[in-house]
Amino acid sequence: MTVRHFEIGPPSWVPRTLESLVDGEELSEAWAYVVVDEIVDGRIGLSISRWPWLDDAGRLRFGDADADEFVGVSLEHFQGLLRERRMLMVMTREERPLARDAGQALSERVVRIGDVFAVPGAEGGEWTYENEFGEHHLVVPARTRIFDITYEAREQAKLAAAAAVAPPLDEEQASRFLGEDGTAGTEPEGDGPDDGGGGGSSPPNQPKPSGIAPGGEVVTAEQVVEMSPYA
Amino acid sequence: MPSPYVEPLPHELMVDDEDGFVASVKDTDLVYFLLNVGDGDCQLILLPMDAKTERRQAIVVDVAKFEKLEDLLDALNATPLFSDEVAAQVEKFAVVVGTHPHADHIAGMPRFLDRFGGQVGEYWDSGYYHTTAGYHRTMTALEDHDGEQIAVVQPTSGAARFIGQVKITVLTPGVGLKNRYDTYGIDLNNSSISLKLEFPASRVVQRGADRSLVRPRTQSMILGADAQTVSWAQAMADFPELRPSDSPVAKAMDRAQGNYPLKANVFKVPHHGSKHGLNLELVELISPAVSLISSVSGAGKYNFPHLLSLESIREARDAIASKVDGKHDPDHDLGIHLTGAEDDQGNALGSIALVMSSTSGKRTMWRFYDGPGDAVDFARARRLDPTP
Repeated sequence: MTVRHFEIGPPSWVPRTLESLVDGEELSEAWAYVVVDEIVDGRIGLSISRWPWLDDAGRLRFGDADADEFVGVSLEHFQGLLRERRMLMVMTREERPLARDAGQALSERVVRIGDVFAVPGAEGGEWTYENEFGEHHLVVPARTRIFDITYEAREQAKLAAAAAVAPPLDEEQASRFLGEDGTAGTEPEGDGPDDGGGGGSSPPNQPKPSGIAPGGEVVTAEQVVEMSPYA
Repeated sequence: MPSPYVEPLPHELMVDDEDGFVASVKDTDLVYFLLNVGDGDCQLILLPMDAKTERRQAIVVDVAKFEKLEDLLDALNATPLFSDEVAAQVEKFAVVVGTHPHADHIAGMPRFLDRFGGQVGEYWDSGYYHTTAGYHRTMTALEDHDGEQIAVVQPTSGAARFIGQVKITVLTPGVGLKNRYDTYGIDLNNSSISLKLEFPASRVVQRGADRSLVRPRTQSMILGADAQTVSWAQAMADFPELRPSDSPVAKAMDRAQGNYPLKANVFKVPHHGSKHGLNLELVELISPAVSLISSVSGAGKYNFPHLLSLESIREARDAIASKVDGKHDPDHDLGIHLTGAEDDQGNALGSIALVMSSTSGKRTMWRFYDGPGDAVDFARARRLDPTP
């Protein structure tokens, strides 16, 4: 039996759409990785974990499972929070900018199971609080955004699943079995507005991160930074 | 505070057995453990000893809490039931099922795979890739065994697997539902792998140059995972009751011959007794003699089990319209048992073991009086008398 062990530690995972936001810095463990795990009877089950690191195989690694939190929050309250604070992050190409109506539609997108949000850490390290009625809510520090990174997080989940079903190939194997340079067709099929993959001739420019602000305004990464004080 | 919907079990129905739990199990028995892990699922099935290899294999269905299962496996290793001498050497666990990627089903799976991965033949996964930390941990644990050691399978309805004398049929997810995962937004409870186990399965018996297919009297169980009504609706379409006519004679013959794909003697109730997990029509189809619920009693995040589900089981087993007094029989007479239930003296009943005979069709239920954080202690086991 071969059991491989990977070091867990820095660097932390920085989604491509958040690179310009953190400007080369790492996302600290204080950030929360928040997943919509369940929606039932007007409530959302949130799975909240410490921000993941990357191991030397490029996989998302999460810390101790005992540190994960699972809380039920009001769907209405959470939707309201997103309407005010959500910055939905996508990759777009310069020659194919996101249309205003598409941005509008995405900003109004209802919460779905599997949605993932990066939430800057609050003082004291608490991720949730309980109000006087016994209802739990997510702690989001004042003037910070909730970054909707669903597109990239789902891509990471697909990678994890695909690698578990069949072991990854190294470059030589890929070159031999997948195509001349080992890259043909290897880009995972994404579900964002423009995943940068798929067939046809490659556009000249690489996709860049864009944000969709509350209300549907499509903004550049630089504007996201201006609109997102978080530290 | 126990739920007012859950009836306490009369204390006198649980009896001490002078042979004890371990000694009572025969090589030809199947032993089903439903562990008390609170609101979550953790199931271990010891298959009957294989007629050819004279080894036992096991199936694991969900690992909510690794410590609970690890303690049980260590305790079993010290008995003749599933010691290293009795168990198949390489593939001790023929199949391990992660029914769906919710933490109350797979939180302990990474640690289980870390310790026992080299003894696992196949891992069955729902195919629903989820974004949670627990899902990533599980996929990483599978990948770290190189993927060649553990074959990862994503089965859909109708898939069948024979292990020794046991036939396993996948009831859900239907392939139509699975193909919709990628449209994003399918409730992942509905991605649950639910299974039907039948044993002893039909086998070819060789007598010299003659061979014949023998259809023994089978026992069957359905393990409902967290599949909800959307998924069960598809199962009811995928596994129709086919019969030539609706005449009472045809129905009686079909029932006698067991041609009801969704009928089962034992039903592990879906989703901890959630109101979304079953309905009356489904329970009527299954028509279980024993219904087992893995749930705390009236606590937890979602107040499982829900009254609507309990009443559906009661009604399916004992239709109120036919009752003079308008009341259902007691739950223990209807075969309804919860891991989180208590007896009428306030004793927590805890984990359940169901010993099912492959030769007589008899079932014996044992309770271990353990809390969710306690190890199963065989010495504390008491037998339900009678077991339906």
